[in-house]
Amino acid sequence: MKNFLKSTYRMYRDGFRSMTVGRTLWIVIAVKLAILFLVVKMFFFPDRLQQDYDTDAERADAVRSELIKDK
Amino acid sequence: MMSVVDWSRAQFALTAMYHWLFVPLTIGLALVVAVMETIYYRTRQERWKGITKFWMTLFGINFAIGVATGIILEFEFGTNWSNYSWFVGDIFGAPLAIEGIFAFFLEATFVAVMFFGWNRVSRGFHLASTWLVALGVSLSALWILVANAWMQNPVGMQFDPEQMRNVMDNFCEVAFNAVAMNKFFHAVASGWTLAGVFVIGVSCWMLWRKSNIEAARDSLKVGAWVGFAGIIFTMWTGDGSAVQVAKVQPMKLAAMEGLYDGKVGQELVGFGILNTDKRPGDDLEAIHCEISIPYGLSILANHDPNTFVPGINDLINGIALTPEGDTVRTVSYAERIALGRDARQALRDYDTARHAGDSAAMSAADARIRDNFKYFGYAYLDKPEDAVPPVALTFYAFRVMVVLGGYLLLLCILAIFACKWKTSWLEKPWLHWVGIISIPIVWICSQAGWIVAEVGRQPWVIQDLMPTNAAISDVTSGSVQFTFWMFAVLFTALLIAEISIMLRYIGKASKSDIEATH
Repeated sequence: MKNFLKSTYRMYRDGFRSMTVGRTLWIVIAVKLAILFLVVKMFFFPDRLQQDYDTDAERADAVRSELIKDK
Repeated sequence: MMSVVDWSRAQFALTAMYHWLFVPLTIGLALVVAVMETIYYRTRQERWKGITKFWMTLFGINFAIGVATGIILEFEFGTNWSNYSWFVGDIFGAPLAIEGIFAFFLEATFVAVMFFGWNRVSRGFHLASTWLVALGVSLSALWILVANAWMQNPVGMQFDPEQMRNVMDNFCEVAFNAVAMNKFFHAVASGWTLAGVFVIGVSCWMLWRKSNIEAARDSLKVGAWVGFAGIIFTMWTGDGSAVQVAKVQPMKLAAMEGLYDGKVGQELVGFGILNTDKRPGDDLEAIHCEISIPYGLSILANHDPNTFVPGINDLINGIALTPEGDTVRTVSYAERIALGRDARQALRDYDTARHAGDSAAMSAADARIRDNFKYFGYAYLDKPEDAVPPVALTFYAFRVMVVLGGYLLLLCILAIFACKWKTSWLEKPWLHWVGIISIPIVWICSQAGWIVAEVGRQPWVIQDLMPTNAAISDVTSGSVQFTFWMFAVLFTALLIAEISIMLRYIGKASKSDIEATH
């Protein structure tokens, strides 16, 4: 088990170290995830029902009110 | 002037279409790489190892750029479509959670073995990992398509007015929804086609540059066969899709054909120019310069040339088709609107009774909701014509998909023919350019398919239960416009990054020996 974990760790470590194109890709992934979660999600895309109401019952009430309104 | 619903739809469409640039290539290239590695495993020829690694790197570039682009769709559900995301309840949540778990384990384990495991694990284990990645990306797509198919054909649930959610009461009905199964195989096979044509195109580019000729020829052969299998399977499942659409979304089928008044032995429009002034119920001609295939639509929809296919006017007036293919008088759209409004009034009564603490009245209202719930969404339509999707976009997108699909079939046959019987053609620049220009064509075909599926089901976000104008949150048009353009810039930057990294990698590889550089 110990050997398996050690060889798995080495596989990841050496794999990351020997990357060529992969380095650029990891930078792209990191920048993309940072933009998505730290900017887009946080500032522009709140979950409205989660944010505005505390309980599921209140959320259900809010949606019911919306759907029984004449559109 | 676009409304907030239009902007939200446009934003969702933009996000979904950009996401779908990456997904089918991931699905298809995973299979291509698995096939190539299998050849390496069986032949033990080192050149196949180099070829496998070359395409695996392109798979990795696409995978890395595309990963998490779909998460934005979930952000949009919570912000722009909060009524919808609450209303669908756990039916959407369960498949998406399964997909997330699949994706996590796949990415954390087998993709790592695929890229880092050469010479570290046995050849057999490495090959198994590559196949598991190919299987995993397809299964990951399955759960997304199960969720999508439920919106097209909502089954396996009960609406609970207390929770204001649809509660799953039969997982198997949701997971094995006939629409989901067909959609899954159609989407996955289209991914094989796309990747096969991508491999043909890139190989042709290398042949045109006269670099890595042997590797390019070998790759072309695999790409051609994968693409051929993919397009045949796509066409077969596309036929299954047409039958499903005829049963569960006949209005979509009518829009795909620009068909207003159906008949027994309905022809299929091969070519035609749609009259954009045509409206349901008027006497104007629907299609100019029509060239049709006799009985084609009846065969496509019902596999029987002598069956009736309802048009838009027929459906509005309540003439439809049973699952057995018989014509029946059913509920007209005016009646559906009335029944939908009854269901909505019952929901209002439920709400009033709930506030009054009158449980008997709540039960009575609940029963009335259940009686007409299948028409609930019609309550939000002003008139029957509001249930007609944008006919022109659906009609032309369908033709673009079919014509380009036919072209791709011929391309794959041509590539197989050139590889197997006419190898001198592999040196001809015309063949190289046919392959290269087919790369954008296959993406256009793939996107056109989704336009048919998604625009054709308008105005429904959930078929018959919720139209887009009821699904929308209380957001301002300005805020959605701002994030629309933000995503347009972000996704375009990602696309440019993907194309430039791929081109740089292919360019570098084509200046050296693929087998030696890996």
